[in-house]
Amino acid sequence: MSTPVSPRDLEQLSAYLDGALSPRATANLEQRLKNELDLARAFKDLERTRALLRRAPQRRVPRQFTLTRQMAGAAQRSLSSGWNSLNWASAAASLLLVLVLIGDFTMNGLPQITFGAAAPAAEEAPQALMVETAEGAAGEEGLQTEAAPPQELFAEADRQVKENETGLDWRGFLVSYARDVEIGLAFLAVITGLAAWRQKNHP
Amino acid sequence: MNEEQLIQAAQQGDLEAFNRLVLSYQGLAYNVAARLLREPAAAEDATQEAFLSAYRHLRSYRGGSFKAWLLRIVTNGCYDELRRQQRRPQTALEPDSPDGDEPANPGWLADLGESPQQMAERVELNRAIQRCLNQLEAEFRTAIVLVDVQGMDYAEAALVMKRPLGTVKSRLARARARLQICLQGFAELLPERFRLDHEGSA
Repeated sequence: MSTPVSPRDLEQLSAYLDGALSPRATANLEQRLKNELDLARAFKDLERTRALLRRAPQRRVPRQFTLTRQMAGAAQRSLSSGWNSLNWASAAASLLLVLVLIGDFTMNGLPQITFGAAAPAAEEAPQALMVETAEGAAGEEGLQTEAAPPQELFAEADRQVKENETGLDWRGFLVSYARDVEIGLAFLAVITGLAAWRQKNHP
Repeated sequence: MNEEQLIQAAQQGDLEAFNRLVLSYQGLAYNVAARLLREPAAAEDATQEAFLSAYRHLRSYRGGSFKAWLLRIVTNGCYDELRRQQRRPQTALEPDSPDGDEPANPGWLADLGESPQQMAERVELNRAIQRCLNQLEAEFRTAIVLVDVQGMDYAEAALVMKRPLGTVKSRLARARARLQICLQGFAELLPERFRLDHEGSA
Protein backbone atom coordinates (compact mmCIF):
# COMPACT_ATOMS: atom_id res chain seq x y z
CA MET A 1 0.00 0.00 0.00
CA SER A 2 1.51 3.33 -1.06
CA THR A 3 1.45 6.41 1.12
CA PRO A 4 0.78 9.83 -0.42
CA VAL A 5 3.76 12.16 -0.62
CA SER A 6 3.72 15.39 1.38
CA PRO A 7 3.01 18.71 -0.38
CA ARG A 8 6.63 19.73 0.21
CA ASP A 9 7.94 16.54 -1.37
CA LEU A 10 5.53 17.00 -4.26
CA GLU A 11 6.85 20.51 -4.83
CA GLN A 12 10.43 19.23 -4.76
CA LEU A 13 9.63 16.43 -7.19
CA SER A 14 7.95 18.88 -9.54
CA ALA A 15 10.92 21.27 -9.45
CA TYR A 16 13.35 18.37 -9.87
CA LEU A 17 11.43 17.26 -12.94
CA ASP A 18 12.03 20.70 -14.49
CA GLY A 19 15.67 20.84 -13.37
CA ALA A 20 14.87 23.77 -11.08
CA LEU A 21 16.35 22.41 -7.84
CA SER A 22 19.69 23.51 -6.38
CA PRO A 23 22.56 20.99 -6.78
CA ARG A 24 22.44 20.17 -3.07
CA ALA A 25 18.66 19.63 -3.04
CA THR A 26 18.98 17.57 -6.20
CA ALA A 27 21.57 15.28 -4.61
CA ASN A 28 19.40 14.86 -1.51
CA LEU A 29 16.30 14.08 -3.53
CA GLU A 30 18.10 11.62 -5.80
CA GLN A 31 19.32 9.75 -2.72
CA ARG A 32 15.78 9.60 -1.35
CA LEU A 33 14.38 8.47 -4.71
CA LYS A 34 16.72 5.47 -4.57
CA ASN A 35 15.55 4.48 -1.09
CA GLU A 36 11.88 5.51 -0.94
CA LEU A 37 9.62 3.52 -3.23
CA ASP A 38 6.53 5.72 -2.79
CA LEU A 39 8.49 8.84 -3.61
CA ALA A 40 9.92 7.19 -6.72
CA ARG A 41 6.43 6.11 -7.81
CA ALA A 42 5.06 9.61 -7.28
CA PHE A 43 7.90 11.01 -9.35
CA LYS A 44 7.20 8.58 -12.16
CA ASP A 45 3.50 9.58 -12.18
CA LEU A 46 4.40 13.25 -12.27
CA GLU A 47 6.81 12.64 -15.13
CA ARG A 48 4.11 10.85 -17.14
CA THR A 49 1.58 13.58 -16.49
CA ARG A 50 3.97 16.21 -17.77
CA ALA A 51 4.81 14.11 -20.82
CA LEU A 52 1.10 13.74 -21.56
CA LEU A 53 0.58 17.49 -21.32
CA ARG A 54 3.52 18.13 -23.61
CA ARG A 55 1.82 15.92 -26.18
CA ALA A 56 -1.29 18.12 -26.07
CA PRO A 57 -1.90 19.24 -29.65
CA GLN A 58 -1.38 22.89 -30.48
CA ARG A 59 -4.32 24.61 -32.10
CA ARG A 60 -3.99 26.25 -35.45
CA VAL A 61 -4.96 29.92 -35.43
CA PRO A 62 -8.43 30.30 -36.94
CA ARG A 63 -7.41 33.56 -38.68
CA GLN A 64 -4.74 36.24 -38.77
CA PHE A 65 -4.76 38.66 -35.84
CA THR A 66 -2.82 41.43 -37.58
CA LEU A 67 -4.21 44.94 -37.17
CA THR A 68 -5.58 47.04 -40.00
CA ARG A 69 -4.88 50.79 -40.16
CA GLN A 70 -8.47 51.38 -39.09
CA MET A 71 -8.14 49.13 -36.01
CA ALA A 72 -4.83 50.73 -35.03
CA GLY A 73 -6.31 54.24 -35.35
CA ALA A 74 -9.35 53.32 -33.28
CA ALA A 75 -7.12 51.75 -30.62
CA GLN A 76 -5.03 54.93 -30.33
CA ARG A 77 -8.12 57.14 -30.21
CA SER A 78 -9.78 55.06 -27.49
CA LEU A 79 -6.60 55.21 -25.39
CA SER A 80 -6.19 58.95 -25.68
CA SER A 81 -9.88 59.69 -25.08
CA GLY A 82 -9.95 57.47 -21.97
CA TRP A 83 -6.73 58.97 -20.69
CA ASN A 84 -7.91 62.51 -21.39
CA SER A 85 -11.22 61.96 -19.60
CA LEU A 86 -9.47 60.61 -16.53
CA ASN A 87 -6.95 63.44 -16.62
CA TRP A 88 -9.73 66.01 -16.82
CA ALA A 89 -11.60 64.32 -13.98
CA SER A 90 -8.44 64.35 -11.89
CA ALA A 91 -7.78 68.01 -12.66
CA ALA A 92 -11.41 68.96 -11.87
CA ALA A 93 -11.31 67.09 -8.55
CA SER A 94 -8.01 68.77 -7.64
CA LEU A 95 -9.39 72.21 -8.50
CA LEU A 96 -12.53 71.62 -6.43
CA LEU A 97 -10.34 70.44 -3.56
CA VAL A 98 -8.34 73.68 -3.68
CA LEU A 99 -11.58 75.73 -3.75
CA VAL A 100 -13.00 73.85 -0.78
CA LEU A 101 -9.73 74.25 1.12
CA ILE A 102 -9.83 78.00 0.49
CA GLY A 103 -13.49 78.08 1.52
CA ASP A 104 -12.73 76.08 4.65
CA PHE A 105 -9.90 78.43 5.58
CA THR A 106 -12.16 81.44 5.05
CA MET A 107 -15.00 79.90 7.07
CA ASN A 108 -12.80 78.94 9.96
CA GLY A 109 -10.95 82.25 9.99
CA LEU A 110 -13.72 84.81 9.46
CA PRO A 111 -16.63 83.57 11.57
CA GLN A 112 -15.06 84.71 14.87
CA ILE A 113 -14.85 88.22 13.46
CA THR A 114 -18.10 88.45 11.53
CA PHE A 115 -20.91 86.50 13.01
CA GLY A 116 -19.10 86.00 16.31
CA ALA A 117 -19.42 89.82 16.80
CA ALA A 118 -22.73 90.38 15.06
CA ALA A 119 -24.76 87.81 16.91
CA PRO A 120 -24.13 89.02 20.46
CA ALA A 121 -24.74 92.60 19.34
CA ALA A 122 -28.10 91.59 17.95
CA GLU A 123 -28.97 89.68 21.09
CA GLU A 124 -27.87 92.56 23.33
CA ALA A 125 -29.88 95.19 21.42
CA PRO A 126 -33.30 94.57 23.02
CA GLN A 127 -31.70 94.26 26.47
CA ALA A 128 -29.91 97.58 26.03
CA LEU A 129 -33.21 99.15 25.07
CA MET A 130 -34.83 97.65 28.16
CA VAL A 131 -32.11 99.11 30.37
CA GLU A 132 -32.37 102.47 28.66
CA THR A 133 -36.13 102.54 29.06
CA ALA A 134 -35.92 101.45 32.68
CA GLU A 135 -33.47 104.23 33.43
CA GLY A 136 -35.61 106.68 31.55
CA ALA A 137 -38.65 105.58 33.52
CA ALA A 138 -36.86 106.00 36.84
CA GLY A 139 -35.53 109.46 35.91
CA GLU A 140 -38.68 110.87 34.39
CA GLU A 141 -41.58 109.82 36.57
CA GLY A 142 -44.98 110.49 35.13
CA LEU A 143 -43.94 110.22 31.59
CA GLN A 144 -44.97 106.54 31.15
CA THR A 145 -45.66 106.83 27.43
CA GLU A 146 -42.07 107.86 26.65
CA ALA A 147 -40.59 105.04 28.79
CA ALA A 148 -41.99 102.19 26.63
CA PRO A 149 -39.40 100.85 24.10
CA PRO A 150 -40.25 101.76 20.57
CA GLN A 151 -41.71 98.74 18.71
CA GLU A 152 -39.72 99.45 15.53
CA LEU A 153 -36.46 98.99 17.47
CA PHE A 154 -37.56 95.53 18.67
CA ALA A 155 -38.58 94.59 15.15
CA GLU A 156 -35.19 95.67 13.82
CA ALA A 157 -33.39 93.66 16.52
CA ASP A 158 -35.52 90.57 15.72
CA ARG A 159 -34.74 90.91 12.04
CA GLN A 160 -31.02 91.08 12.77
CA VAL A 161 -31.17 87.99 15.01
CA LYS A 162 -33.08 86.08 12.31
CA GLU A 163 -30.59 87.07 9.65
CA ASN A 164 -27.71 85.98 11.82
CA GLU A 165 -29.41 82.69 12.66
CA THR A 166 -29.94 81.96 8.96
CA GLY A 167 -26.30 82.83 8.24
CA LEU A 168 -25.15 80.62 11.09
CA ASP A 169 -27.04 77.58 9.75
CA TRP A 170 -25.73 77.95 6.23
CA ARG A 171 -22.14 78.54 7.26
CA GLY A 172 -22.31 76.00 10.05
CA PHE A 173 -23.47 73.40 7.57
CA LEU A 174 -20.54 74.12 5.26
CA VAL A 175 -18.03 74.21 8.09
CA SER A 176 -19.23 70.92 9.57
CA TYR A 177 -19.15 69.11 6.20
CA ALA A 178 -16.04 70.80 4.75
CA ARG A 179 -13.73 68.13 6.19
CA ASP A 180 -15.77 65.31 4.62
CA VAL A 181 -15.93 67.11 1.28
CA GLU A 182 -12.16 67.71 1.37
CA ILE A 183 -11.43 64.06 2.11
CA GLY A 184 -13.83 62.95 -0.63
CA LEU A 185 -12.30 65.29 -3.21
CA ALA A 186 -8.74 64.39 -2.25
CA PHE A 187 -9.66 60.71 -2.60
CA LEU A 188 -11.32 61.35 -5.98
CA ALA A 189 -8.34 63.35 -7.25
CA VAL A 190 -5.90 60.60 -6.25
CA ILE A 191 -8.04 57.77 -7.65
CA THR A 192 -8.66 59.46 -11.01
CA GLY A 193 -4.98 60.46 -11.23
CA LEU A 194 -3.89 56.88 -10.59
CA ALA A 195 -6.46 55.56 -13.06
CA ALA A 196 -5.16 57.97 -15.73
CA TRP A 197 -1.60 56.83 -15.08
CA ARG A 198 -2.65 53.18 -15.19
CA GLN A 199 -4.69 53.69 -18.35
CA LYS A 200 -1.64 55.11 -20.06
CA ASN A 201 0.99 52.70 -18.79
CA HIS A 202 -0.65 49.37 -18.13
CA PRO A 203 -2.23 47.26 -20.84
CA MET B 1 14.95 43.18 -38.56
CA ASN B 2 15.26 41.28 -35.29
CA GLU B 3 12.61 41.37 -32.56
CA GLU B 4 14.14 44.30 -30.71
CA GLN B 5 14.26 46.40 -33.87
CA LEU B 6 10.69 45.46 -34.70
CA ILE B 7 9.56 46.53 -31.24
CA GLN B 8 11.38 49.86 -31.52
CA ALA B 9 9.89 50.50 -34.95
CA ALA B 10 6.43 49.57 -33.68
CA GLN B 11 6.85 51.90 -30.70
CA GLN B 12 7.47 54.70 -33.18
CA GLY B 13 4.17 53.91 -34.89
CA ASP B 14 5.26 51.45 -37.57
CA LEU B 15 2.16 49.25 -37.92
CA GLU B 16 3.90 46.94 -40.38
CA ALA B 17 6.58 46.14 -37.76
CA PHE B 18 3.92 45.53 -35.13
CA ASN B 19 2.06 43.17 -37.44
CA ARG B 20 5.24 41.16 -37.97
CA LEU B 21 5.37 40.73 -34.18
CA VAL B 22 1.72 39.66 -34.26
CA LEU B 23 2.49 37.01 -36.84
CA SER B 24 5.33 35.68 -34.68
CA TYR B 25 3.25 35.41 -31.53
CA GLN B 26 -0.34 34.87 -32.63
CA GLY B 27 -0.07 31.06 -32.45
CA LEU B 28 1.24 31.13 -28.89
CA ALA B 29 -1.21 33.82 -27.77
CA TYR B 30 -4.19 32.01 -29.27
CA ASN B 31 -3.18 28.64 -27.82
CA VAL B 32 -2.77 30.07 -24.32
CA ALA B 33 -6.15 31.80 -24.58
CA ALA B 34 -7.78 28.65 -25.94
CA ARG B 35 -6.49 26.57 -23.02
CA LEU B 36 -7.55 29.14 -20.43
CA LEU B 37 -11.01 29.80 -21.88
CA ARG B 38 -13.41 27.04 -22.80
CA GLU B 39 -14.83 28.43 -26.01
CA PRO B 40 -12.78 28.88 -29.19
CA ALA B 41 -14.75 32.02 -30.07
CA ALA B 42 -13.92 33.59 -26.71
CA ALA B 43 -10.26 32.66 -27.20
CA GLU B 44 -10.31 34.32 -30.62
CA ASP B 45 -11.78 37.52 -29.18
CA ALA B 46 -9.34 37.51 -26.25
CA THR B 47 -6.39 37.13 -28.62
CA GLN B 48 -7.50 39.98 -30.86
CA GLU B 49 -8.19 42.19 -27.85
CA ALA B 50 -4.76 41.38 -26.43
CA PHE B 51 -3.01 42.47 -29.63
CA LEU B 52 -5.04 45.69 -29.74
CA SER B 53 -4.19 46.38 -26.11
CA ALA B 54 -0.51 45.60 -26.76
CA TYR B 55 -0.51 48.07 -29.66
CA ARG B 56 -2.19 50.73 -27.52
CA HIS B 57 0.31 50.33 -24.67
CA LEU B 58 3.44 49.51 -26.63
CA ARG B 59 5.16 52.67 -25.39
CA SER B 60 4.89 51.40 -21.81
CA TYR B 61 6.94 48.30 -22.72
CA ARG B 62 10.33 48.89 -21.10
CA GLY B 63 12.38 45.98 -22.42
CA GLY B 64 12.78 42.47 -21.06
CA SER B 65 10.91 39.49 -22.44
CA PHE B 66 8.41 40.74 -25.01
CA LYS B 67 6.85 37.28 -25.05
CA ALA B 68 6.19 37.44 -21.29
CA TRP B 69 4.85 41.02 -21.58
CA LEU B 70 2.48 40.00 -24.36
CA LEU B 71 1.32 36.81 -22.64
CA ARG B 72 0.59 38.77 -19.50
CA ILE B 73 -1.83 40.88 -21.53
CA VAL B 74 -3.38 37.71 -22.94
CA THR B 75 -3.80 36.03 -19.54
CA ASN B 76 -5.18 39.23 -17.94
CA GLY B 77 -7.75 39.42 -20.75
CA CYS B 78 -8.64 35.78 -20.19
CA TYR B 79 -9.10 36.32 -16.44
CA ASP B 80 -11.43 39.26 -17.21
CA GLU B 81 -13.41 37.05 -19.58
CA LEU B 82 -13.60 34.21 -17.02
CA ARG B 83 -14.86 36.66 -14.39
CA ARG B 84 -17.44 37.95 -16.87
CA GLN B 85 -18.55 34.40 -17.63
CA GLN B 86 -18.92 33.68 -13.91
CA ARG B 87 -21.06 36.79 -13.44
CA ARG B 88 -23.21 36.06 -16.47
CA PRO B 89 -23.08 32.35 -17.26
CA GLN B 90 -24.34 31.58 -20.75
CA THR B 91 -25.61 28.34 -22.20
CA ALA B 92 -25.01 27.73 -25.87
CA LEU B 93 -28.17 27.08 -27.84
CA GLU B 94 -26.51 24.21 -29.65
CA PRO B 95 -23.58 22.60 -27.87
CA ASP B 96 -20.72 21.39 -30.04
CA SER B 97 -21.41 17.85 -28.87
CA PRO B 98 -24.01 16.22 -26.59
CA ASP B 99 -21.71 16.47 -23.55
CA GLY B 100 -20.73 20.05 -24.35
CA ASP B 101 -17.24 19.16 -25.62
CA GLU B 102 -15.74 20.10 -28.92
CA PRO B 103 -16.94 18.32 -32.04
CA ALA B 104 -15.49 14.87 -32.73
CA ASN B 105 -13.51 16.15 -35.68
CA PRO B 106 -12.60 19.78 -35.09
CA GLY B 107 -11.03 21.55 -38.03
CA TRP B 108 -8.11 22.92 -36.01
CA LEU B 109 -6.90 19.39 -35.26
CA ALA B 110 -7.01 18.18 -38.83
CA ASP B 111 -3.68 16.91 -40.07
CA LEU B 112 -3.50 15.48 -43.56
CA GLY B 113 -0.47 13.36 -42.69
CA GLU B 114 -2.14 11.20 -40.04
CA SER B 115 -4.48 8.22 -40.13
CA PRO B 116 -8.07 8.38 -38.85
CA GLN B 117 -6.96 6.26 -35.88
CA GLN B 118 -4.20 8.71 -34.95
CA MET B 119 -6.57 11.60 -35.43
CA ALA B 120 -9.13 9.99 -33.08
CA GLU B 121 -6.42 9.44 -30.47
CA ARG B 122 -5.33 13.05 -30.61
CA VAL B 123 -8.91 14.25 -30.26
CA GLU B 124 -9.50 12.01 -27.24
CA LEU B 125 -6.27 13.11 -25.63
CA ASN B 126 -7.05 16.76 -26.21
CA ARG B 127 -10.56 16.35 -24.80
CA ALA B 128 -9.32 14.66 -21.64
CA ILE B 129 -6.65 17.31 -21.07
CA GLN B 130 -9.02 20.20 -21.66
CA ARG B 131 -11.67 18.75 -19.35
CA CYS B 132 -9.14 18.32 -16.58
CA LEU B 133 -7.69 21.79 -17.18
CA ASN B 134 -11.18 23.28 -16.92
CA GLN B 135 -11.50 21.86 -13.42
CA LEU B 136 -8.48 23.79 -12.18
CA GLU B 137 -8.65 27.30 -10.76
CA ALA B 138 -7.53 29.98 -13.22
CA GLU B 139 -4.04 30.57 -11.76
CA PHE B 140 -3.26 26.86 -11.47
CA ARG B 141 -4.43 26.41 -15.04
CA THR B 142 -2.24 29.27 -16.20
CA ALA B 143 0.84 27.80 -14.50
CA ILE B 144 0.38 24.42 -16.12
CA VAL B 145 -0.52 25.83 -19.56
CA LEU B 146 2.55 28.07 -19.62
CA VAL B 147 5.08 25.56 -18.30
CA ASP B 148 3.80 22.16 -19.39
CA VAL B 149 1.75 22.85 -22.50
CA GLN B 150 3.77 25.78 -23.90
CA GLY B 151 7.15 24.72 -22.46
CA MET B 152 8.08 28.02 -20.79
CA ASP B 153 10.57 28.09 -17.92
CA TYR B 154 9.69 29.13 -14.37
CA ALA B 155 11.19 32.60 -14.68
CA GLU B 156 9.18 33.45 -17.79
CA ALA B 157 6.00 31.98 -16.29
CA ALA B 158 6.57 34.08 -13.15
CA LEU B 159 6.86 37.19 -15.33
CA VAL B 160 3.65 36.37 -17.17
CA MET B 161 1.75 35.59 -13.98
CA LYS B 162 3.35 38.50 -12.09
CA ARG B 163 4.02 36.18 -9.17
CA PRO B 164 7.19 35.23 -7.29
CA LEU B 165 9.07 32.20 -8.60
CA GLY B 166 8.24 30.19 -5.44
CA THR B 167 4.52 30.76 -5.95
CA VAL B 168 4.72 29.56 -9.53
CA LYS B 169 6.64 26.45 -8.43
CA SER B 170 4.13 25.49 -5.78
CA ARG B 171 1.11 26.22 -7.99
CA LEU B 172 2.58 24.15 -10.76
CA ALA B 173 3.28 21.21 -8.43
CA ARG B 174 -0.25 21.26 -7.04
CA ALA B 175 -1.77 21.70 -10.48
CA ARG B 176 0.21 18.71 -11.80
CA ALA B 177 -0.94 16.57 -8.88
CA ARG B 178 -4.59 17.51 -9.42
CA LEU B 179 -4.35 17.01 -13.15
CA GLN B 180 -2.78 13.62 -12.62
CA ILE B 181 -5.73 12.49 -10.47
CA CYS B 182 -8.20 13.87 -13.01
CA LEU B 183 -6.48 12.21 -15.98
CA GLN B 184 -6.51 8.86 -14.20
CA GLY B 185 -10.30 9.13 -14.33
CA PHE B 186 -10.09 9.26 -18.12
CA ALA B 187 -7.74 6.27 -18.40
CA GLU B 188 -10.35 4.15 -20.20
CA LEU B 189 -11.21 6.90 -22.65
CA LEU B 190 -7.61 7.63 -23.57
CA PRO B 191 -5.89 5.71 -26.34
CA GLU B 192 -3.67 3.00 -24.86
CA ARG B 193 -0.37 4.72 -25.57
CA PHE B 194 -1.52 7.82 -23.72
CA ARG B 195 -2.65 6.06 -20.53
CA LEU B 196 -0.88 7.20 -17.39
CA ASP B 197 -0.50 3.72 -15.96
CA HIS B 198 0.99 2.46 -19.20
CA GLU B 199 4.75 2.05 -18.98
CA GLY B 200 6.64 3.93 -21.60
CA SER B 201 3.85 6.31 -22.49
CA ALA B 202 6.07 9.23 -21.54
